[in-house]
Amino acid sequence: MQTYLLSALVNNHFGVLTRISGLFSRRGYNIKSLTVGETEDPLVSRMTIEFFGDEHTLGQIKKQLSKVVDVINVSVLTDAVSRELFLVKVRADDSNRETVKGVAEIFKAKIVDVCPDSLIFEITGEENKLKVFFDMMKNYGVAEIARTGVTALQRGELTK
Amino acid sequence: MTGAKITVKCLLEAGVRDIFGYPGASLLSLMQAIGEEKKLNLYINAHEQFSAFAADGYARASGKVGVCIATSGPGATNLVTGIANAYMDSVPLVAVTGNVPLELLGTDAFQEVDIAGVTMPITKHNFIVKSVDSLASTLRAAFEIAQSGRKGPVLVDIPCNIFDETAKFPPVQNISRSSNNNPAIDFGPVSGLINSSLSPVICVGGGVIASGASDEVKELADKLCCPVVSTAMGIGAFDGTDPRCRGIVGMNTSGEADKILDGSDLLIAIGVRFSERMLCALRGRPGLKAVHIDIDPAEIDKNLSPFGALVGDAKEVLSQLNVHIDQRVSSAARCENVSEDPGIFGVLNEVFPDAIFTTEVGLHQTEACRKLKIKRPRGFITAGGLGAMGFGLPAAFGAAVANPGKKVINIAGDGSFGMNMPELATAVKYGVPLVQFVMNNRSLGMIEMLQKNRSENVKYCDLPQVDYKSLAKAFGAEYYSASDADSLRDSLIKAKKSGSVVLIENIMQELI
Repeated sequence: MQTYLLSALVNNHFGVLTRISGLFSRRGYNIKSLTVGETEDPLVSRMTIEFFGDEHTLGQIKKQLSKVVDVINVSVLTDAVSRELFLVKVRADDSNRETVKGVAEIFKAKIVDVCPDSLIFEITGEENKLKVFFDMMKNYGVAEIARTGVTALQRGELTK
Repeated sequence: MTGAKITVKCLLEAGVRDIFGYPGASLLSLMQAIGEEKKLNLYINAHEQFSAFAADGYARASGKVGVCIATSGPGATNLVTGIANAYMDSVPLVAVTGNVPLELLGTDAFQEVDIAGVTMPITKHNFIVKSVDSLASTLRAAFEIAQSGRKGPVLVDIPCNIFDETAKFPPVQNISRSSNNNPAIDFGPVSGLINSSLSPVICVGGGVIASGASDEVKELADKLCCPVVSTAMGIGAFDGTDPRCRGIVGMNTSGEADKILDGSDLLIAIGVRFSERMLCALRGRPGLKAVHIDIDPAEIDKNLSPFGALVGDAKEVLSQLNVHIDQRVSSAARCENVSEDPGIFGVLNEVFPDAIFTTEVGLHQTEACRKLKIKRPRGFITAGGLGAMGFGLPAAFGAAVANPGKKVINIAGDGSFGMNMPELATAVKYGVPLVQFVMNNRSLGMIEMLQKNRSENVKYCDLPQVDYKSLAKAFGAEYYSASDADSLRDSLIKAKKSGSVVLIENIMQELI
């Protein structure tokens, strides 16, 4: 069992996301995250699917996805750049703001909102780094978190 | 040209001549356009579910795409069971539904249902047409998708105002779908497994019929001098009267097929999907390896990890694979034919050796699968995957429309007949002389049997006592009854000679 990243190019129509998420729930594929956004071609979207499981299920996901009429291409990413973005709201007032800021600087997290009793940080990176940042921030009291899910691109040559 | 006329032109262009459906307010313009086109016949069933089943039976009997139409809301939802049935058995179907006008979509208007949302998991693909300009290309795509690769149902939902809007009828564009840049298949591993097997057995599924690969399967069986078994969906893919044909495998196996598997070391499965009912055949037989040939790559390694696999259309794959297979010398039969007494089904075969048989769902169906001898592909039509009671009679109607002059016999239990009785009147109305053969055991036999197998009390299986003679008369059908082999033969011969719809009530002394 391990984490896999799949990248799917799909038609940029309404309803395509429903088709694909419906396929996952119907067949019982447990996915960790799914992100989608328009690509360089406005008719095409890229979906990045993060899946934790075994190779057999991975093969089935790939084959079942390929059968969906709106799916143009599916690939399992083997050597990819992957990123996720977290927005983290942390409790911080005059007493600890500087400390929190100091820790955040180590992670290159950006402050995007300041309130008398809280800060919102924006941080991007690979999942592990974000997790460590999040664990650190928990010490100060995390109020809320919003995650984008993983998006990724295979390194190197054009795959299309 | 109006959207309604565009729809009609697209249907003609796709080779459609017969449509099954039910009128409704959102179909008014389409119905007028169909009515004005002499080449199209629209058959009105008693219920939209029967329209879907009839289109399904039509497709299975003819190999063409079945077409059904229904109005918005309840008309569309009534199609659902029929669409699911076609999806499970990979039957090419195009369902066209009218919907409320575009500007009312999403407002919970009268008879509005998001049928595209409802049918997403049971269609190969579906469309909502949002502009008359995309109507023709959408309908063309629907027919393309329904028939390509692993076949299946496609639904096109059309808001009714689009039937009245006008657009130019666009010429066919030759869009070469960049699907088949097939890499050369390596036949080595699979042909190696086959050539080195000691006692192979071929198992044919619905994919052989869909692909029209019966001749290639026969060639393979000739080369290997081996027996052939079948799934329920594969019945007729290999000549059932050929002594090498040894019945069906799986949960409802014939004892004969079981014996064949016991003595085999390689199962060559062609166009099957290894459903859990079929997988029983491999359980407890660790010495039996499988190779899998199927058009759908997602079926390989889904329920079973085969020792070898080939992905592609059965006919194309086999015609190439057969070249690599060594001719064997015929040896003595691997086990003697131990056919069960075919009983009622023997008499049916005797009187109707070349008919098309359809079935409902239940004990009569499993018995028919085991005991009927079907010579040709498309000669046996049954709801294999979904097991939808009520399928048989409308499917027989569709099969009969597809094959004028050919006898179609629907084998039914009295439970299933209770679900689709009004369709008998439809057959009478259109003068489609099918034979409705009801095995009346006054019970939901299969459920009764399952309850008894679990040592439970028999509950809720008793059925209403219907006077079928009066029913036949009321609907305008001929009626004959039978209670033993001789009276059955007489009744069937009368039915064979008759040019009308015939209801035969076979009074059962036991459940089956």
